[in-house]
Amino acid sequence: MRHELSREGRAFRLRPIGLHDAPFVLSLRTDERAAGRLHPVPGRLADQIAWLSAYFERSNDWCWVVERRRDGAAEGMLGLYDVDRGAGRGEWGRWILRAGSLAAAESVLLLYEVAFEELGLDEVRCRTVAGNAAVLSFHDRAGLERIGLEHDAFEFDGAYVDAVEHKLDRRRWPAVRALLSRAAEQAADLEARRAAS
Amino acid sequence: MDDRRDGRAADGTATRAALEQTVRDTIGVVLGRNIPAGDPLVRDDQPDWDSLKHIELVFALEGALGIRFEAEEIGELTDVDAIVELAEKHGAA
Repeated sequence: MRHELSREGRAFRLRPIGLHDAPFVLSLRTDERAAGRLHPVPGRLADQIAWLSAYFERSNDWCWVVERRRDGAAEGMLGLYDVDRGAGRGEWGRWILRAGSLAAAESVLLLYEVAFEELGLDEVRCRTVAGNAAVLSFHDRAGLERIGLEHDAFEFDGAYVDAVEHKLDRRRWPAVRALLSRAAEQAADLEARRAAS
Repeated sequence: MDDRRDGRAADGTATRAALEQTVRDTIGVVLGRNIPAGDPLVRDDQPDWDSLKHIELVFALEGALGIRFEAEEIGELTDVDAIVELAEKHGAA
């Protein structure tokens, strides 16, 4: 949906995605490093624009561009969707960062802050392609709880793949926030070197 | 130049073998497992070498090797050989 919800971290920020981001999103999603690890990818710019236009019409769907604070460079994207504020839960995903980005910890930290502290959710879930070991490890290490395996969760060019589902609830949030905050601080220190060089 | 048993050449500089062993030991500490000699340890093939561990590894390597990687190099630390080469470039001893 169209929203004005932004969130600032030390090195990165989340800003609402716009139609003008379509070329960037397309480039992210077609990055060969991401091949096989994403939801089906609209392969043309027109398809991406159509996807964003449909997204703007969904009321329970927040999508952001991850942006570097020092120069506004786009680093990636992520989203929080299927949000049921009455039930206090939602799902997050569409998480993709450009290769070499240091925004992983802080971008996810900011998303959880939005979910728990701004939207007042009690629980967020995420589903990861079962073969995406690095992201599964990230969620495990961050302290999320693995709650199941969903068979044939995603389709890629006609082939179905399984997904691992993780959950973070309000009870675990403080510990996860502490861990991600430390990692985000370290990443920001490294990012500061880039600014200085 | 003959290499001595302690992994240092006669002029006192670390040999590549000694440097590589330090890199392997450091990665092993961060990942919590032994990294055997000869294992190229390519990041993309290591499920536990995620983006959180990568940041931790950068600081651990810098501490162990007494160097400071350039910011642009952080994404290039993708396997043992690449790390050793960058460490050599920075004069790791």
